[in-house]
Amino acid sequence: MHDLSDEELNSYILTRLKILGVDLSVLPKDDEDAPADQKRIMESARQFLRNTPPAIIEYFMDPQEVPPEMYPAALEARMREAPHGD
Amino acid sequence: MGIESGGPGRELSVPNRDSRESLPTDRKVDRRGFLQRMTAITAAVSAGTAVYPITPLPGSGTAAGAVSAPRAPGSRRKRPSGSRDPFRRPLPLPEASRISLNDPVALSLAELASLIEAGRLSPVELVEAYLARIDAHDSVYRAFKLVLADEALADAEELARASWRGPLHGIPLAVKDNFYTAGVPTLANSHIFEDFVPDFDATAVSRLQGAGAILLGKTEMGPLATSRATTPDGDWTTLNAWAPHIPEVSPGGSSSGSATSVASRMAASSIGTQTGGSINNPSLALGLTGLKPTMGRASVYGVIPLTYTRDHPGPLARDALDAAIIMQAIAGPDPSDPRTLGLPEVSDLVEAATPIRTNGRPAVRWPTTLGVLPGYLDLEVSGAGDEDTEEERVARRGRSEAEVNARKEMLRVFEELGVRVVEVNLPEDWEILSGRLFNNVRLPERSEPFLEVLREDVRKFGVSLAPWINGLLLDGTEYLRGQRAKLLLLERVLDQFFGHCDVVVQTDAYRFDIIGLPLINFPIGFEEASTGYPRPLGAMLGGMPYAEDRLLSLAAAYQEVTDWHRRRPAEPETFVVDGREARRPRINLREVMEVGE
Repeated sequence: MHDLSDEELNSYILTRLKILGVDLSVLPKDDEDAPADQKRIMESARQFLRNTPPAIIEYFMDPQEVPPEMYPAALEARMREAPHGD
Repeated sequence: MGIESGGPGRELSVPNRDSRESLPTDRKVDRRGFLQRMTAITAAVSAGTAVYPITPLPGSGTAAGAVSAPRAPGSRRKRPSGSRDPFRRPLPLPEASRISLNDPVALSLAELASLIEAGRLSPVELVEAYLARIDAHDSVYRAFKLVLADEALADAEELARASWRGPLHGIPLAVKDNFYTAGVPTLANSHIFEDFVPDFDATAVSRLQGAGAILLGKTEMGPLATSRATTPDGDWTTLNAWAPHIPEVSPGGSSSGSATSVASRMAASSIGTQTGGSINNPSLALGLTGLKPTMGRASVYGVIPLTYTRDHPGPLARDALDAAIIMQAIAGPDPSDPRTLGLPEVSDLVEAATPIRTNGRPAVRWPTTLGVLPGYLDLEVSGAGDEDTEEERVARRGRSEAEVNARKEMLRVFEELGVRVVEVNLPEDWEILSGRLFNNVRLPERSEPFLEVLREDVRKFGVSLAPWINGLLLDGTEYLRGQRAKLLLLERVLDQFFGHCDVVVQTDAYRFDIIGLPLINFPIGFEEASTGYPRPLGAMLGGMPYAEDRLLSLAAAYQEVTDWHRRRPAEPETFVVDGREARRPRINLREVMEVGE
């Protein structure tokens, strides 16, 4: 991820957001006085992508370790009369 | 030093370890069982089965309003009936005859409860006293988003005529503005909610009011529970009550208003929420006692979500006993929040937070080993630099001698109380698994509940937008691996910390938030020479699952022989600095991104 250019990351970010229907173009392009602008949001997103996914993916985990399981409380709530707190 | 002669306390032998009933809850819990539950929270969230109230979000409009009465006369909201009584009897409240009535707003919740029960103080007088302080000082502190003056007085009059329900009867509380309050605006300081008026109370609010508490007002907070309290567009609002003349001194976030309201004596106590330090950090900054409970110990039904697997409600209080009273009222199973079901029974937290004596001397309630992290008493702070949060970077500039000395003294006091203090090693990969990058795994849980708003108009997020966008960029693969990594971290903490101690000091709240374990903080001194104001110094202890009772008992024992928790900040003289109204700066994007929440 460190090798990706700003342009490549911008393309990825905007494509991903477009798939989800999220539009950043309503923000001002570059306005330090605005609560948020496109420039700062894109910078934050590029930094996030350069750091977070690689750190997580590069951390090897044995598939036999800590497999997800159903939360017992979800069954508790649905299988018998739930305890009443009030 | 903070050592003083203790109060009378109650004579009680240290319980026998063989007696199951006398054990703290962490000794009754199968650590492996907790692991399984936490694993399943991950699965439930992945599968979309975790429950949050998904309420249609209102449209955007003008900036959120200032303190005001939100309701028309005659449209008073209905108080919960209060059929639930979470308190066991007899209640170990302070003796009313020993409490001075000179300044009720300076008293603890427990002291106020004792006076109200004894008929020496009316809930009406108490509400009037807090409202007078709010009128006098909240234009400076800006702790409240909304003050419910008429409602609170009406409730107080009703409660003054009613029979005493328990320690919360007639006690005015401040509530963070992300808790639903029926018929009262709930804004979370965001444009997204600026027209939102819930039609039901959050479970925590309902339980507190059912126990007799009075909702005094809703407090300022970081937008959507992120940073220190600001307007939706990022202008600072709440100030630290210990340094109102220095806006840069943070009140901590995001339950800033709750903390400042209590420290400045504008409310008896308060509740907030914590996802990455938002109860403990403001409590530390304001010299309060904050309790972040175990995940699921108290319901977050009716709380605007920030992170499904990490949102915790809890008290920001004057001392351990006050925190215990609040926690006792809100803890326990709630059919509307499956995360609270199937857990161990809530123990008697009020009893746990009552100081005891053995052989005539103050002592801890249960034999306890306290783990100290490597470097906890060092002036220089070591650790990775590039991946730090801003908070960590500040911390790594080095601790003051006053802070280190306060920590040493705190450990000495605990040893004197009978605690065994040992140094513990960090669990394997602690800095990675509990570091900022793995902490980012929380962000998709932030984005998902707000997808519709993100698709409609990102401007509604104001200054808080960036992490919501970043949460959309984390793929399911990374999310799942990150969630499994949390469980690996939990497993290692349970084995490698708690295989050697019962509680462990912590310096960053968000690390235990990641894995849902309980945290308590309490004041251990003040530093003024290098700060120019009396900066509260605090300690934070982390515990095993459901160890709220042990954590409260330790803080209570410490507070029995120290008086730091009794210090109150001076009155704010003015909000004028250098002849002009002090400007409240704006939070920047970096701060939004880097806070632990």
